[in-house]
Amino acid sequence: MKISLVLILFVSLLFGDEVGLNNLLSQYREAGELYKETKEEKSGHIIVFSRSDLDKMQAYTLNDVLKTVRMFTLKSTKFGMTSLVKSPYSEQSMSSIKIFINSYELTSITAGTGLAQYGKMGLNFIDHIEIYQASNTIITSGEPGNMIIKMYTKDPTRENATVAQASVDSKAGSRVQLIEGKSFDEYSYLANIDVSKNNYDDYRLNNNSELSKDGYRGQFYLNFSKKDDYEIEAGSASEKDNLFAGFGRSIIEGEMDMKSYYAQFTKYFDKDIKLILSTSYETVKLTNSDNVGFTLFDNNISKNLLIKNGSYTNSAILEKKYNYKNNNFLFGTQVKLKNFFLDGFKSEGVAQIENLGPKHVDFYALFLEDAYDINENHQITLGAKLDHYENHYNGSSTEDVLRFAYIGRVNENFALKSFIQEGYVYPIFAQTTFAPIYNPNPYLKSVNTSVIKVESEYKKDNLTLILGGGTSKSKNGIIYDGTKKMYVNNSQNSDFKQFNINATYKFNADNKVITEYFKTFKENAHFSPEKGILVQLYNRVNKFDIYNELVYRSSYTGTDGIKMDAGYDYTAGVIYNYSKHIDLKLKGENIFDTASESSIYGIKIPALERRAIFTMEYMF
Amino acid sequence: MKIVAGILTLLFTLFGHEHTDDIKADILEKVFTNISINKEIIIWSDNENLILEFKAKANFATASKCSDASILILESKQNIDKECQEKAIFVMNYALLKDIPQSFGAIFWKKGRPNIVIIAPRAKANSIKISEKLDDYLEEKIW
Repeated sequence: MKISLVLILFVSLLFGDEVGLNNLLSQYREAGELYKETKEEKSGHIIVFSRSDLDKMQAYTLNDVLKTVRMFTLKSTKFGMTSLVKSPYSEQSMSSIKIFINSYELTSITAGTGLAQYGKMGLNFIDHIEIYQASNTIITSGEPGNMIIKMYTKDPTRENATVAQASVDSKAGSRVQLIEGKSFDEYSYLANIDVSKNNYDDYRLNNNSELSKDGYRGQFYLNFSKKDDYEIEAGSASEKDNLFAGFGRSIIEGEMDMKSYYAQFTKYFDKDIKLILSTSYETVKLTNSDNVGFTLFDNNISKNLLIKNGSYTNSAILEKKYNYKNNNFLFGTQVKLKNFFLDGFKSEGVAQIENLGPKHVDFYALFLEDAYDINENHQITLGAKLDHYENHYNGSSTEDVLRFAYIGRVNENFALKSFIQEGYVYPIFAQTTFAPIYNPNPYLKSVNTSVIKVESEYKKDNLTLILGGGTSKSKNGIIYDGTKKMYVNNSQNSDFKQFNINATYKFNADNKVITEYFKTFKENAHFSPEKGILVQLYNRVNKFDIYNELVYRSSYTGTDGIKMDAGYDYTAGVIYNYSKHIDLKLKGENIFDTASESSIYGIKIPALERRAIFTMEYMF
Repeated sequence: MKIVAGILTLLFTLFGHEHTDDIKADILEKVFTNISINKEIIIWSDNENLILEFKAKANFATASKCSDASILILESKQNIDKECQEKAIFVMNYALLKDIPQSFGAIFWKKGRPNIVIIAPRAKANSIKISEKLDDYLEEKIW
């Protein structure tokens, strides 16, 4: 009893809501968080990382956020990258995850999903992140995805500053970031530069091969806009990393060199019409020398491999919103021309036969959605999308997506959301067109998917409780066939079920705790953790912002038969607001070195290693 | 980032959000409670919603014309009549502190956070006395 009283007193002292000016400013900040203007309840089950959350988390890279996402585990890959693996599937399942910066999709055509290349992307220019599960693929541009990660850039009118940050970490890595956001009259701009030197532990295989994934990354982002008129965005990234294990089991050395560029122009017309034009270009150069060598797609052994490939896309989207009585219509069309190129494919210095599938895919889409307000508390949404693919190789195909959503407030404290979606997942270039170690299969068909999910939300005072569950089925799934050395369609159906519970308690605008549990169910697949827990504690005490995070993932046995222990990733950070101009930050990642790991040739490797990061931020 | 109100349809929210004007009025009231001028504080603003919030709270008198007010809260320079230009002015963005030399304080966004600043020499020039409770927000000049 005494202990309880002391605890209550302690919590009251820490988070007591004295209505001082600083508390009011915090309330004002929270009430004005930009995610409240962009979050779409009808578009899926949402996980939001607000500006304040990302700041307190000291989320330097996208991976810092991705590792917390329920139903997924962030894992290391053989190529030194990370991949977000859906529970309890294996890494080969290539989950269909789409990433956006504002309305621009970051998908890497070369690798199929942007996740591998953008895991180390710096978040300094990002205001908030919304992650949609059971996501609305009707109104999201491009090919459908099962999960959508939407990153929104900082609003220059709320930045009004030039801010520099320099970080060093305990692995001798470093990062320098510079951001400037300004507005003048109707115009505003945001510019961000982020350069990092990324160092990791080296690992040694039994055959004495040394694995390293050290590297450098630089990125640039620019946004210039005129209010209610147009917006121009441009971004580029360059990353060069050691190849880690690469294709073989006895790497001597290897490197991955990636460059990407994009530009997007958005024009807002009268009558709620929007036009988005975008273009992108990317190249990937990979070198891999291996002591023993590895088997290429044609069964030849390569000890020295060089691949230079890339892609470019051009896209136009025209959409209109129209309200009629209780109907909120959105309709539009998209044309996206995707092109893959292979500039070099050499083994032992000799050019190899290029066994390529379709190099050009033209994508045309028509979409329509009606969000109908039954009354102020209930809304149903019906959507349909027709996608047509011309691959200039072996014909064309037409796919469709149908979606029904209901969201409603049952009473003052209780709300319900449910989604039913019939869709598909289109194969990627890495499966249909080119891969050095297996054959492309240009005849792959889309995976048919259906999803039903329900989420209930209870909110009373400072507590929000969310209970979610659902099932998804896929037909015609794409799996790797080791005998044929290619990806093929699987005739068997696949069922997946999941359940999650989330509780958030807000002490006040600066202090909250989030706890979450999920479990997934799938027969015959336990290749990644099927259960997970997340605990996040966000606090502000005087001039200190404090963050504590625990990510638990259950044990599992990988595709290589190696049993992996349960992982507990404890991460914590503190920010000291030294003055109006200077913040000092300290963060410990994977502090106890017990995070969930992946097995790479029997060596157990976490996605994010134990690391301490010290940062100084200066606002000019 | 660009958010165009006209383009976005009204986002359906499951549970209502706090209104920023309400909190903004609370902040301004807190500031004005800790300052004193030689006359009664009567507030006028070019933001009508803000005036409605002040009226609802009923802690300060409000005016429908700036000429009847003793403190003006301004969001845009264009919205002030010539006859009111010499009154004590509190502005709602930092750039206005530069544009309106007699403005003595501001609420503004910087680095994604709302801030308050009161420029001490300007307050003094306007015969405004500042309580020591606002010491943390005092600056000698604009940045």
